[in-house]
Amino acid sequence: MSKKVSSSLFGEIEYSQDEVYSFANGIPGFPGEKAFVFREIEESPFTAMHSTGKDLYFLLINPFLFFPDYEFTIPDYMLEQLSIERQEQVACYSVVVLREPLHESTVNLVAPIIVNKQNRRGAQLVLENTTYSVRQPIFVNEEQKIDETAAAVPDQG
Amino acid sequence: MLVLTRKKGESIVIGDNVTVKVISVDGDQVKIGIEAPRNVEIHRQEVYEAIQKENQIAGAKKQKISLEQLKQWSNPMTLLQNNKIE
Repeated sequence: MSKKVSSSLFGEIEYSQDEVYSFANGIPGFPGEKAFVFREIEESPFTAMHSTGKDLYFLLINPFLFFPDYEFTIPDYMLEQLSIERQEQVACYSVVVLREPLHESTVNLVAPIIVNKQNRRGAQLVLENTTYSVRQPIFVNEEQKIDETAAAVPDQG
Repeated sequence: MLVLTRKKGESIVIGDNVTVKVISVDGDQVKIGIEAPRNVEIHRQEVYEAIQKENQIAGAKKQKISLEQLKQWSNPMTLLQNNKIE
């Protein structure tokens, strides 16, 4: 049986119960949001993580595609919480903040979304003792290119 | 809030499984050791608050964002990815 939730991005999302990922503790800032569906946005690098309860979604990317050197260890408490036993069960995403102008958009590398694809449990991991940024610019390379061609534009810090 | 005074090397026990120990004190810096079961999550408050804030920005209503707009990102992304693979 399919269910529906209205969405300012998709208009409406139709989903079945066996697509729903359960976030037992919600995510930081949204402790009450415990159920999400994931929708890849075709022809884009984004996946939307959409609440099943209301019009609320997060845009995610695969951080390893953008930052090949990105790495972290999933701590025991998280492996336990999500019942992760094998690497193949795991998918990782990072939360994007779109900003104006778009090339200033950032991604949060301190708190990856971790899901167990097998039992469809998820959580947002908060990394401790990390040098990664909660506001890592996505377009580092692109910005450098822009800087080179528009050297006259003053640095806005 | 319960307020307790502890000296260096002394501990506080919380429930059956959590021990908080003052390792060292240096000026206004206190080094704290925490022993807790592996399934207990422990975070610096400011780190956790930064994540809360960033999530709230990420989840805020994005009126201007459309699927079409997101698809426009595929080109620069592809370029970026190709750059890095090579």
